[in-house]
Amino acid sequence: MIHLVVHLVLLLPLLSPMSGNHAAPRFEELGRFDRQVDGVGACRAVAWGDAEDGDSAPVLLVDREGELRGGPDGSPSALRDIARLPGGRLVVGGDRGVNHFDPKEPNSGWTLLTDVPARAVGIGGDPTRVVAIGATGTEADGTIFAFDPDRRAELWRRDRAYPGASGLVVLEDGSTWIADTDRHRLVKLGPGGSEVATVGDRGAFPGLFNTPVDLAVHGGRLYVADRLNHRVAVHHADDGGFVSQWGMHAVVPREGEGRIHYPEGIAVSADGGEIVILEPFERRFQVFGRLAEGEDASGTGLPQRRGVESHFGTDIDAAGGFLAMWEPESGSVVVFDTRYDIPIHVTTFSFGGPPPSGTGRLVSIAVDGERDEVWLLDAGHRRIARWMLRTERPGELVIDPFMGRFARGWTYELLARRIAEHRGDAGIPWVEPVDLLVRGDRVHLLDLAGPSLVVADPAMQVEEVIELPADSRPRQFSVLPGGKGWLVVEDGLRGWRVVRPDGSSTVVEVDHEELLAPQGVVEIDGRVALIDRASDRMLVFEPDGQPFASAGETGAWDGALFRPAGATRLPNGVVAIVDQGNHRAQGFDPTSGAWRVSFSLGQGHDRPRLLEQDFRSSDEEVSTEDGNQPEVSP
Amino acid sequence: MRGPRTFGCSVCGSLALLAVGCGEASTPEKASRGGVDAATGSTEIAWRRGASADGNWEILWRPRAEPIPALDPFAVEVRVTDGDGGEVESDVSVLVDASMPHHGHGMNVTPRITRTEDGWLAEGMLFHMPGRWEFVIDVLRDGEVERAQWTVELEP
Repeated sequence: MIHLVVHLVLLLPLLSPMSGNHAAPRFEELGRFDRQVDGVGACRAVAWGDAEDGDSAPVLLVDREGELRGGPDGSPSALRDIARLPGGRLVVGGDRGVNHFDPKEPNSGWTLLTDVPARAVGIGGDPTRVVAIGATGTEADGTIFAFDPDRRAELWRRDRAYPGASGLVVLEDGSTWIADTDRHRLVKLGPGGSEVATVGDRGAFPGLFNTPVDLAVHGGRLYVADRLNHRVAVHHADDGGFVSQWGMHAVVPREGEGRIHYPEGIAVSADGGEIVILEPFERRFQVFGRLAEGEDASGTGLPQRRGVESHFGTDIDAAGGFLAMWEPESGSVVVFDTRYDIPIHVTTFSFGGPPPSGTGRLVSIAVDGERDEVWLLDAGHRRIARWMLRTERPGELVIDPFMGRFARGWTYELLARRIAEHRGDAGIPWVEPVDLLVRGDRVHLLDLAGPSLVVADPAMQVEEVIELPADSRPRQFSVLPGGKGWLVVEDGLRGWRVVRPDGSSTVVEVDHEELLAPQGVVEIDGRVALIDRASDRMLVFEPDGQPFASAGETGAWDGALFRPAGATRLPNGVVAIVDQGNHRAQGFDPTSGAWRVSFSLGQGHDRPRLLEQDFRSSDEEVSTEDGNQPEVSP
Repeated sequence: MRGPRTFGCSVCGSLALLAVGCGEASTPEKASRGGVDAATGSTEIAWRRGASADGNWEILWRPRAEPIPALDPFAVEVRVTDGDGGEVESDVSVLVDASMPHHGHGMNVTPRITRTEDGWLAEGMLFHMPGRWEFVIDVLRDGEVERAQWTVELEP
């Protein structure tokens, strides 16, 4: 018996996966599904409060509007992230900077550390420090800042070191792990800000990442919200060595119950007994607890074959005879032939990988209907790419894997230099294009960083730059026919902005209860169709803002939507919408609002097949973002 | 409504090796086979010619072994001139790659590309299975990249 014990002790390091020099774990692993809370909306960030009187600890949320729910009074607004220490010290970051809250402080307890817009924040270490990442679309994108919150002093900074990075945690020794999102890896910075380790690469196998977006740490474990692998990855907090993964999604929207779909926020409770996973795509969060000895975590099976499925990104465009969308998970572009009423998938091109022809994180897609080309905005690689569509089987409606051919690309940095040259400026601006369209022989770009509209020729020579109001945060746009200007939708604007070629603009604000968060915009014979990501509607307005028609409701049946995004118009006049939350696109009549078609890869129908009663009979009630809100503290 | 456009310069025959330049404006051009230049009768391996997608670059390439070996590494010489046939500046560089789009993969290796006196040499290319490969050369300069593409049929 004694010998057996000795042998087991000797074997333990070998049995521990990827254990390296780590001792056998002395703490309890997390990963047992406990509960899910639906209907919280597309929240931006999550943290734990402190448990009181034996109750479960409350969950703090930054909601879709950027407001802190469940935290101390007087918090700043337009927030993007939150981090909290046991005992109540809190840091929030957002469009107006980074603020620290100390419950021991006199007065309000809130102090501004910097007014630099921040995308992510962390707090920890001894002495306590705050670390932040600059916000996307600003010149601080990817800049890492460290502060002493007590002296309100900056400790160090690394300018634009990790553009697109979106999450971080601070360790006890003052070092920091960064989720270097667009490079699909984790980066460890020492207490002084120097890079000391990198872990991971793009992929689906254990230890690899696909768009890691947020981090949490407790008890020597580093927890990663691995967004496009739909899982939580667990690593050693000291050197990043892989430990395990769980929560993997099975491609079924609304599935939940331990299966994770597009995780974007993650936090561990103060006692290490619970972990909360924020899933804004599903308007919910899930809580996982400790595992019993020998118990497997929820969703530990390896991911299914990573082929191209019907996950679609936030944009869609159709022109000439083609329609294009992309699949974020694989980084692939999917093209449909639109000659018939049901768009038919005819080719898939590119995969996630290095430039020039590999994709990073796509944010917009455009079809040039005159030249049969597809343009991509790749925020991950900070590039614009142009692909040709050239079939070798003309007239046949068949899959043609050779149709997409990369033609030409430009870096954002080159675009920025050309914008500066056009303006006659010496300084090179930071650019963050968020939407792109090709109409006629001009390329139209919507730049969040400007903010501005940029018009270029097909060789990306800048011909026009129209400034938008400095406080606007544009999302998507539409080019008006006949060179009459553009329609722009913006964060926080319930309506749209009409921008004229002379640079003047007018805001049309709409008081409509179903207009909450417009994402897509399409001009329809003088009217304006807005696709609302929060109310799951297409709303059509007259030019003066009077309602004309509406379509959609929250659900998964034909005619219902879940987190719809971009929209475009098909040759037959139907408005095609990316029904992102249902892994498909749908078409609606822009005059009557009637459903016309549902389609995705390998399937499509223009007669109703997915009926509401079939979903209602088995599903619990579905709520929109602003309906049926639960208490913040579960 | 117009149907998808034909891609006119892609021709795949049953030759052991057939390479055709696929720039938008390029004319289909059959390359030599078996190491014999069809036009000159020379045993020197013939250059394949093509234009990049927008015609800003003229590109020549040839393998150092012909036919291109299946399953064995090979090297490719590359020369680039501008659209008017002029020499390129020193800030121009190239990437050489290949893929099998219908199988959804590329090469399993990354070629090592070095500058030579009159162009570039890509070593460590490997077509790890027979079939249709799309061979590409990207010309990079100052934040821009433009591609030329050829189809290569590799028999078992």
